[in-house]
Amino acid sequence: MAKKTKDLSQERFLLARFSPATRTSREEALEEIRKFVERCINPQARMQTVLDEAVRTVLKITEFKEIAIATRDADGNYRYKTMSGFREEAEKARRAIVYTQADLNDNSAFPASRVGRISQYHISERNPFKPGEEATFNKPDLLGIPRKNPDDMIEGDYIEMYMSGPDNQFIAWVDLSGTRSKKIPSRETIILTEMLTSCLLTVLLNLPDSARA
Amino acid sequence: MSSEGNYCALLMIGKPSALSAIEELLRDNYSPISRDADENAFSAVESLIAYIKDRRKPIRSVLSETIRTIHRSFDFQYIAIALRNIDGNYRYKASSGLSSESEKVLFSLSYSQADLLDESKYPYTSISDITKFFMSEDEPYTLSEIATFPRPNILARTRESPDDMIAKDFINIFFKNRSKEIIGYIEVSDPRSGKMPKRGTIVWLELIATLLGACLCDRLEGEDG
Repeated sequence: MAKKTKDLSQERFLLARFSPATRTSREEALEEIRKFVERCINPQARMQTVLDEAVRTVLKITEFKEIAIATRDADGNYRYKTMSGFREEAEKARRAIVYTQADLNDNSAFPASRVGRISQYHISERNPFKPGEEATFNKPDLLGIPRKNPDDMIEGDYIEMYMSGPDNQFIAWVDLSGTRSKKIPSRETIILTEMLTSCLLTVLLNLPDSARA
Repeated sequence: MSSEGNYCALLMIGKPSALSAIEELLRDNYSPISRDADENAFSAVESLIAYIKDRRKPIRSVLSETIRTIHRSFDFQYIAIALRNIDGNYRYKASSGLSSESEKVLFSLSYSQADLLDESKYPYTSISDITKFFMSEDEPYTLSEIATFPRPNILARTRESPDDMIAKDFINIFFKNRSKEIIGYIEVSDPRSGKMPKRGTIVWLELIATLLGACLCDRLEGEDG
């Protein structure tokens, strides 16, 4: 069979049209999310490395400085497994907390406004934390200081994105706070972070049993 | 007093209207109603993820749902998904946009790993690490495969503009297992617009393909897709 040859001028057109050099910021972010999933499809992938990769990806594609991910343990309770952007004492305080399923369903203890498909915005003025949990914030002395503008993101504000399994049981959640601009995150940030969170859930649910420890 | 001052004053005295202002802002800013076509793609892919994340779903249903999502959300009318079988060869397992005769031929085809990457037999242009564009001008097919192209009545049509996507053009997006071996691919062609996809569409298809890899990588050995 004769060797087939390429139409080089059409090939040049294709390479220019699909060049990564001219991607939009949204396309860049989606590609980062895809690469996150790709990195997790790996024989060495463990739950902890997957969670750490997810945090790194959130830092890369969004304006959040403070990120924490909690997952469900074998005892049915939830604990923070990975964090970034917290002072040492705040991180230690978070690691010590154990949430029960009842805590997650308790809207009175953690009042929130829904801001996306799986996201809830906890407004600082509603004191969305239990007594004693002030230490989990980076600047507890700023808690209770009112915001100057409705679009400020202040200490005590945080967003949670929930991940549910096939039986609608909570598997994990992502905590997000402290935007670089000190303003509430853009709509784009929420949409992209929700997409990443959904991809994280897919990866977690498809990890082999040996990788869950 | 400035509006900012008013707002602060309301907060200091604990007026519910101050909290209402924040809540109203959150509602407006993050309304679930899509604001552009690409936000619709986010919703569609989120729904697909909600479906395919469940490992109990049969592989055939996962493939069908993936094809439905691509068909609804993007420009393509022909979509097919091939998976690696236990014998190491790749066969099409699901498709849309073909006549039943063409689909029968498509499902009878089998490709080795070498075939997938054989540029002398199936010339292609790599537009990313996992996506290959097969151009009609390069004749990326054998005679027996011509029967699998959608819309045989326009197969002879040539490209009038470089951004036309014509009958024998097709795009393959590959997905891999944990050992980085190709375990399948999504194939698309025949866009409704007659034009090549935007780069953003390829980014979405690559994300969908990679997610399929995540969902199927440990299942193909044990199940007949």
